[in-house]
Amino acid sequence: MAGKSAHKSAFLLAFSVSAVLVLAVLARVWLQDTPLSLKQHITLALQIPLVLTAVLVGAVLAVSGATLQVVLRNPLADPGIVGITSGASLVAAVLLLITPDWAKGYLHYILPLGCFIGALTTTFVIYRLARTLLGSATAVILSGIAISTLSGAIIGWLYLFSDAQSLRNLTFWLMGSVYQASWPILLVSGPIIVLSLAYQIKQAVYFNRLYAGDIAALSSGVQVQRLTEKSLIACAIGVGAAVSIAGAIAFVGLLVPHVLRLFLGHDNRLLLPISGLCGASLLLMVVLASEYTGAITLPVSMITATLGGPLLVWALLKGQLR
Amino acid sequence: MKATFEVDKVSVSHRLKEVDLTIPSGRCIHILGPNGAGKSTLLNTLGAIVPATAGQVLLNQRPIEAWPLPVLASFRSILAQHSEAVFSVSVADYLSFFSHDEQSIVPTMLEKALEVGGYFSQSINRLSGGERQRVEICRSLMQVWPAIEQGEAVLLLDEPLQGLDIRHQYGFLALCTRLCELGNTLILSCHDISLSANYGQDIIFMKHGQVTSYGAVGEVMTAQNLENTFDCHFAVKERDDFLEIQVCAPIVG
Repeated sequence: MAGKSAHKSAFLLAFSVSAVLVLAVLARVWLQDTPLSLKQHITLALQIPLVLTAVLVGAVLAVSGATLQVVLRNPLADPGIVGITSGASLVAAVLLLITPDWAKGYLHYILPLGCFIGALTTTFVIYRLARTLLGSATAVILSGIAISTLSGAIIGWLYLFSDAQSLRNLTFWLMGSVYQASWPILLVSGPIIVLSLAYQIKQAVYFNRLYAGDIAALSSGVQVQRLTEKSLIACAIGVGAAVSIAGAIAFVGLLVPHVLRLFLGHDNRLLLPISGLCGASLLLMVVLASEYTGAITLPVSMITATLGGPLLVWALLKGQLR
Repeated sequence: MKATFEVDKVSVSHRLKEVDLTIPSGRCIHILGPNGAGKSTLLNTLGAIVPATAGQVLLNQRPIEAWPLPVLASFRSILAQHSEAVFSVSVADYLSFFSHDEQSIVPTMLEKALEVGGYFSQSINRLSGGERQRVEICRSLMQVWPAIEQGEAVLLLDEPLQGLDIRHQYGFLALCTRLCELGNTLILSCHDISLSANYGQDIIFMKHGQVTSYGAVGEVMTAQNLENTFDCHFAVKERDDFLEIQVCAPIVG
């Protein structure tokens, strides 16, 4: 078992990496030859929301992935696979298509709300389905897959009935982007994400007991069912908020915790905060890649999946999963 | 003698039927019965994991459901029949998560009986069935170790001998005797009648969700009781210092 000092240095390392990446994104504007007032404006109106989006979304997706895997006792769990993301993006897609023109100005407030409702509804449906199916963790995953396939299909149908502009918007909700963020949405969703993260990290010590099964956890004083329900809700709310800012970003929740477990072990008190930092760093790298290549429209899921596929296979081969 | 459990007409739907028991503290009690007799349910009901649908369980004179879970967790521990481990948690981490001081240092008394020290760096899901079982026993005892040292623990173990090799079966049973001498109450289910006859102090026979007989080994470990419980013919012989039990054949018809 790693000692306390090893824990500390792992945390510091992850923290410094994310800090450097944040500075790297912000530095780009300041290295350019533009007037100071413009630099200030770009930093405040564009770069800081961009960085905040990458950090919050990356962190909450990675931490929720780690939480879901432990709570559902299934290494396959991920906000995308469990269906939370797809529920949120389905509602967002529908809202984008049906919101009348006069209400478009309020979309900043309507979208996050819609995403929460979508995320919570799918989580609730999946949880009820799973309870009916004898509460097994596998049933949760299977119903999640059913729900997300269905949402995907509905979004596919929506494609058929939308014009060019809506199509671009739909692609954003399906592939994710950190470039749609703005202060109004961030001010609503940001605090919610922070609360969701805080709750999950606070429960880490109880998550550790779930490795030994329900009865062992109950025996040691953990209210397993209440913890499971609250954690699912925390994930749903946090991921819903993330989708409202950045659309559906795939794979972060599956990839980050699995790779980290290879290096850090399974202590959630360490794994959850560092997953958050690494998730944030991963999306910051995506931002950096788009900033420095000038390919602003790079869909985030494309990059996370390109990086994530091989890394996950590597983690598999290292014997993390069986 | 002080009673640990007073079980009054407890039923659990489809599992237990009107079970009455008074279990004094500091005893080592073995539950014997065929598959599906309700042994696990009885242990889970005593441990406040499965609520009784009728009747009442008193633990130290207090209704079991009135105990706050954290208090209960400090002195009563339940070992369930283990399930497949999904994550490759190292044994050291696994034990530390359940240790009251978050250390993975196994008390000497446990290490002597269970010998888990050699597995610390291994993953829980790479252990063999018996090795895993020793780690699980160790985990469940470490959860309440301070109470065990005070002689105030209540230990409910569902088939702890499952998968153990002969050396560790005896190591574990000797540990049980030692724990009871300290004043702890130990209730475990078992399928090895001879071991129970010689290492248990009291025996609970169960069948079809009911307790068919309960008492000190010398009184209830009779061929008659065994035949009623297991539907097999038995021969019980008293040797100098142990009971020899032979299973002859299943009762047909």
